[in-house]
Amino acid sequence: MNSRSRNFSLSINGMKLKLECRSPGLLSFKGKSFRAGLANQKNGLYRLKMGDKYSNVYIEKLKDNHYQVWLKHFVLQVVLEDERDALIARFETKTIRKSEETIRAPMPGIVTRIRVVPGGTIARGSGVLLLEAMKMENEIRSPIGGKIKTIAVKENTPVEKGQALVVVEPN
Amino acid sequence: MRRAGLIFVGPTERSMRTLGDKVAARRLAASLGIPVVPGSREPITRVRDAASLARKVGYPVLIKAVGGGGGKGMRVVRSESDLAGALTAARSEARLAFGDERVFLEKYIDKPRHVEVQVLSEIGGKAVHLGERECSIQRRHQKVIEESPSTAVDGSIRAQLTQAALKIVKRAGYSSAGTVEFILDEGRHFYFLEVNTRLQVEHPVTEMRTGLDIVWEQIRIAHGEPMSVSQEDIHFRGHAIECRIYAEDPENEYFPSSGSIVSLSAPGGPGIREDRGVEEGGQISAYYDTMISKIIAWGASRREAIGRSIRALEDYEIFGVKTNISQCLSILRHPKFRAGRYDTNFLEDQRPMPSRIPENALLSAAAACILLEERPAGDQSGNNHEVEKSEWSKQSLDWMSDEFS
Repeated sequence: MNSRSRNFSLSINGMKLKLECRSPGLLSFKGKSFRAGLANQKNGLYRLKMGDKYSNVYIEKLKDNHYQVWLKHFVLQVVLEDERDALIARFETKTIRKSEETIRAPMPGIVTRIRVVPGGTIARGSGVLLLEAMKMENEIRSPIGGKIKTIAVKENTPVEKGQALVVVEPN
Repeated sequence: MRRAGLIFVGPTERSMRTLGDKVAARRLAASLGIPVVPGSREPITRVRDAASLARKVGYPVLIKAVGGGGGKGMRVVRSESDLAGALTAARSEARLAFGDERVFLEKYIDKPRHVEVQVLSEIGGKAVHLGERECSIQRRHQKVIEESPSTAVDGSIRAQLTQAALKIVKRAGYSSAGTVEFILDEGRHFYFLEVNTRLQVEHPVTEMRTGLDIVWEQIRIAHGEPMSVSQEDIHFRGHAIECRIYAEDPENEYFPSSGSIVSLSAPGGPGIREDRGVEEGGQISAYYDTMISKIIAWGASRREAIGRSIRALEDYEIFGVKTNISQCLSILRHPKFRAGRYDTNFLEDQRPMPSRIPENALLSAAAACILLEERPAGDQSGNNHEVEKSEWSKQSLDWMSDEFS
């Protein structure tokens, strides 16, 4: 192992993978080394070379070490961790419990009905409101069980993608 | 329209009124001795009427929009306690989608198979059928995969279905292309459902099997010319399958995925046809239907058509919006689908698991992120010392090989 070598552990759509980067452009997986290169085309689009084969990828950096990678018809959620950094981080941070969950609009649309009231309780997976988009009514569900802290929208009003709808405090 | 010097390519207004109105079409079919699903002959507005009718035909029942299509304004009701809510929801959805809130109610057939007959008929009454299509793979009552021939019908049922379809369009004085829809129950009894008085999304399936251009025939018919074929000229070859590509997330309740198409490269190859309504750089808006493309595969056998569909879908490259391509692949690989044993509840009952992501794809994604992370600060061009532009046209990755494992 030379000094440039870095070990990465990755989670891709929940699947675990370990790769070593031996030097720029030289990767190793399961003890097998291969050359890899990435050429920027435009705005997040890259041409990826693996060994002697090429493919297109589109990479969106979501936050810190979280990426969304598009490849063929796959959409892959990648979490990339440098093992040394991760080890240090583990000593430094304590687990912080999330104090609330903000449910956001997964797409633009119109809130047609709100099914909950502030202060009311909600079970995990049950509907908080109906969002109409593409002429269909879509049930928006709570990913956690808890108490409704805030309702940030009104019925019959349009919302943007990612806009906060309802805030739930976990039980 | 005629006064303006225009010719409408499609059926006459009168036949569209008769057949496009589901209640009227049912009445017509019943009068010709064609079986219909028991239910209301008239639109239903009051909960009390709906409840008494539902008790008569027996639960579960289905509420459908009179002017409907595409599964909008449709609700399955399994008990009386859910009836009032479902009626209100169906009416409001129907009003939104079609500007007509009238709905009717009929008995819901469990494990139904959706089989439809494509017809062509010309002014003056001559009509031909172009065989059947099976459209039982549906989500939210909207079709996802269609194929022809259907694995649910044999020669005798096929003859009955096609004859019934021709009877209906002839009686209605229909001209142009149209589709007569039926459902088959587990005992393979068929019931008339409705007539689609238009060219349907899945018409390429029939074109691939018959070699006919249905749109061309529609234009001929609108022009007052005879169709280019008679029934005895129509021959059915092999098997065809269509996969509808929707911009949606099947793993998240089919939520529409809007955004811009960053990159798009569609598959081709022997027996593959792609019909598409979007381009690279295009925006998928939240205000229209989510269907963006269709992949139609023809094969000498059903097995070959499935194989070609799989290869084409695996080759499909689309970045920027989520699609149901993985789900289509899972369906095509599912043993029940491959055996031809499925009904319209297939997606809900089987919940086909997303196809395994090949290790090569995982490894590529991993490598791409690492290379991006390793890129020297301030380098906007990417780690491209390994990639020469002139080399880019070389052989692309072979997705299914596991050469790295």
